[in-house]
This record gives sequence, C-alpha cells and structure tokens, in this order.
Amino acid sequence: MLAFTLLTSTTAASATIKLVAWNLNNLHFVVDEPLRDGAPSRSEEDYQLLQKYRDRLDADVIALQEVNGPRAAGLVFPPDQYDLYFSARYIEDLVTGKATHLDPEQRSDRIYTGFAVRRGVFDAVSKRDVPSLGVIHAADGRPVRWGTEILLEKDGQLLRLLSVHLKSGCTTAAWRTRPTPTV
Amino acid sequence: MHDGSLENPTDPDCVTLATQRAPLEAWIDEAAQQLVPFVILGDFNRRINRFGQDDHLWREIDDGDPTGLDLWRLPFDREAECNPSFPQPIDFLVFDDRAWQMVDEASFREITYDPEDQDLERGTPSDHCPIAVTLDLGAADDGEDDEPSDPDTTDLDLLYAPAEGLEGEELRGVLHEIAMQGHSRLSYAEVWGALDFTDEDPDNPGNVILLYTGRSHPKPDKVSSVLNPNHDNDSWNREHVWPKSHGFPSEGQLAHSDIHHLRPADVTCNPDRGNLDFDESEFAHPDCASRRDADSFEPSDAVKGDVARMLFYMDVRYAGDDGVPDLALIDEDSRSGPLLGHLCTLLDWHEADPVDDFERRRHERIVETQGNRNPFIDRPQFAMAIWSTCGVN
Repeated sequence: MLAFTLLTSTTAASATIKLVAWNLNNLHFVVDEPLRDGAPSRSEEDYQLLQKYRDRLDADVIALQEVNGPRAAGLVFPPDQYDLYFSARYIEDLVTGKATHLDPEQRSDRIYTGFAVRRGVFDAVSKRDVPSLGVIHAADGRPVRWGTEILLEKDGQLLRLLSVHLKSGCTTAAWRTRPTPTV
Repeated sequence: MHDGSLENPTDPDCVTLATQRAPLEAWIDEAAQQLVPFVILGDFNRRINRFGQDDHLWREIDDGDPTGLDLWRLPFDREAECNPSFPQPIDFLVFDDRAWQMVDEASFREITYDPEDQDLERGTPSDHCPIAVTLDLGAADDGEDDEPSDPDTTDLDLLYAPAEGLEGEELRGVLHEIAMQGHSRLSYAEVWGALDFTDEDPDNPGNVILLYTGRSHPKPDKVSSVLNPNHDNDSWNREHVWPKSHGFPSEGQLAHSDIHHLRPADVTCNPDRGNLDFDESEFAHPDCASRRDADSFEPSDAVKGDVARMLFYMDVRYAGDDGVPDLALIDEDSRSGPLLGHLCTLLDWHEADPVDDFERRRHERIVETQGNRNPFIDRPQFAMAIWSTCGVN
C-alpha cells in the first residue's frame, strides 16, 4: 500500500542470505556421554532432531556456540553440505591433551565457537581466531571461550561475522540512576 | 541473584565478563576501521533488552566510538519464546550501521522447538533456540553517503504523495495513515536509552539537551521523577510534551512511550509544566527559561516550534485506534480528556520557530529507533493546510 515500502523492496533483490545464531548446549560427538558435568548426554534421536531444525532453519551461515568442535558439528551439519570453521582453541585443547585428559579438573570445558557455512553460497570464506576474548576466569584459572571470525565474499560484497559466547552468570545490570524496572 | 554490575564488579563471573569488554571493543574498533559491514552473533549471556542502552555491556560497546559507530541488535523488543522461564533473550545478532542497512528486520525469527521435540529439563534439542534474520548483501552502502538512513527526497516525495493537495480533515486523515507507518513500540523503560540517542548534545556525546532550559546535562543522571529520593535539582527525566494524563495514563499505551513527543527535561521543570495547556503565559519562570500562569505554560522561543510540531504529530498520529483515544488540539482550555490547547497559539509558534538542524537530527534518530515519521517536520506546510481556520498573523 505504501510507495515508500515498495521503493525499498524493489531496490532489494538477489543477494539475500540467511544468518543464524545457535547455541547447541554442549553438543558432543560421542553418543550417550555428557560432554561435561551438567550437560545432557546425546542420543541418536537428539542428532536427528537437531538435523530437523537445521532443515527448518534453512540458513546460509550458522554461528555456533557450545559445540565440541567439527566432529560434533558435522553430525548436524554434514560436511558435504556445510563447511565448518572452528575456534583454534579446539586444536589447542587436542594437542595439549586438555580435550581428552581423564581428570575432569585438568580437562578444558571443550565447548567452542564456530560457524557452519552452506557450501556453494559464497565465493570465498576465510577464518580468523579471536583469542583475545578468552580472558582468564579467576575463579578457576581457565580461559573462557575465544571468538571465531569469518570473512565472507559474495559477488564482490564482503561481510565480517564474529561468533561469540561471552561469560555466563552475570546477566543484568543498568547504570546507577536507573529507576527500579517493572518486570 | 547478584546484581550483574560490570562497574567495579565483585562477582567472579561479572569480573570475567567485564574483562571481556575490552577485547570485544578492540575487535569492533578494528572491524569498524576496515569499512566492511560486520555482525557479532551468538550467546552474549546478558539480558541486554532489560535495560537497553543503559545495560552495562551494551552501553560500553554501543558507545559511538570510533566516531559514528552505531550498533543495532535483534531481538530488540520481543521476548524469547524458547523457555517460558526465561523470557529475556541472551542470544543476539548485533549489526554495525553498514550491516544493518542490509537487514530485513521483518524477517527476524526465533525458531522454537515443537513441544513434542523439546525436553526443557534435559535442555534438548538445545536449551537455546536459534535466531535468524535475512540480509541483502546487494543493499550495501557504497560508502559515499555518510547518513545512509536519511531517506532521499524522492523517498519522502513518494511517502507524502497521497497527502499532496489535500486540506482540512481529509489531510488530517491521510497524515494519520502516513504517521503510523513503520511505528514499532518501545517499552517505557527503553525510552531512557532512546532519548540518550535522539536528544544527544551534538557537541558532547555524553550529554543530552534538556527541552525547556536548553541545558546540556550528563546522560546517566536520570531519575524517574522529582519524588525519587536520588534526584538532585539538576537531574533529568522523561517529559511527556502531550501530558499523559490527557489520554494515555497507562505505561502500556502506545502514546505513553512514543518518543516523538518525549523529551529529556529538568526534573524540577517537568512538574512546573505539569499538564498545563500551551499558550502565551503571564509570568516569567526563569529557572525553567519559560513562562507560566494558572492555566498555561509558554516555553522559550527556541523550542516553541518544536513543541508545536510534536503536538501536531500527536493529533494526527492518534485517531482512536492502537489503544489510544483520538487526541485533538483545540483552541481553548482543555481541562481534561484527550484534548490539549491552544491550537492557534501553537500554529503561531510553528511559523515563528521553523525546523532547525537539531530538530531534524533528532527526528532522523527517532525514525531510526522507532520507525515512523513526524509529517510536520518533513512537510511543515501541512499544519496550515489542516488548521487553516486560525488565521496566523
């Protein structure tokens, strides 16, 4: 009904992509084994359900959090359909043994940020780590999650994405002069 | 629950989150300088929408630094539906200006799990639901236009084409339709942060300009009312230029949080104005740079036109739908009800104090935040075309 709306929608065409952010709650690749304390163990049915919602999303780029690396992500985003990009913390934990240490105290939390990118959509994808976000959490002396960055190129247009999983447990506060909110 | 403060935090989780702000800002600064549109997406573990622009995390990253940086987030004004116990979202998509131009905001979705698939206790398929939005990469700014959100003249001509040549009630009706286009409701709590943006002092981004006194005052020194024990005489609050008692007393009513007529004002001047009609007034009131008498209030010459155009907007925007009565300007004392005076004086003020740069900038920022436009700022001639019976001198 509006000329204003029509005008903007006619100039918008072709190069539409769908972006998603999805925290997968401690997604492990080992069936029936919780990734860490408090995490749900995953049955075969769980992976199938996640695939069902992957299809429902029908997304080109999915920023992932709480995934135990490309093996786990690949169970939801199969490599013949999606390219996977993961925080190099995943590699570091593997080579230092922190991903597999038998003593849970010595083991890292093994959840990583990353991306699944639908194949064939972009002309180029490059990945970079953002380890600076992995500050040391004083309470346990361990670093928190790194960020994962990708740079996408499509038809000469660039888009930079950063997948983050910031520290939990500190959800709200406003500046001092704020009146008491009604919730 | 701990208070979640990131200012001198004591809670260990908050200490860590507070520490993460610096590297996050550093990443944003670097990305902003590379002129490539960017999106930060994921689990922020922070209920940003609860306090919006005042949230300790959001305010630090959406701080206008580097100069001109402006961040947008989705979801902005809707609750999360993944788990009824946690209506406040903590997963966000955060866009810089360039990326935001590509976003189809209406496409935003939270994809929830079907009840038979979801186990809230186990947290499967996940304890978070995915959030999605579409972007049109072809809609990228070419970098030549520094104010890309300003619609160009052609867009505005198209918007107002249905109103051209009309007069009186017919024009008032068409402007009602135009003024409501794109209006997305802010909560009354979100108004604080919105005013920090819309009424920001152009010479000092840490301050807002207060309506009646024209004073520049720090954004954080907000109080809900003069009755708040934390107030000092310099604090500011949210002034309803169309008094809320005249038609929309409840916070849930759309006009109550419509930032087109909400302004930062000295907390001590706000009650002095009260719910008085606007008109020429008898006594000088120097503390508020205004005049007042028993039945009217007269702001300073510098903002007379601003006040008039805000009220013209309210008259056409609210016509008895959207849960707000039909608001109407009249040329006599209004006393009560959804009425306000004095129309002919306001038309004089509108002519004497035309739209200036600050008002224009404020208007564009309102459009960015709330979505809809004030026709009387875009097309000042519409006022006389509707209310031609006053005979402006």
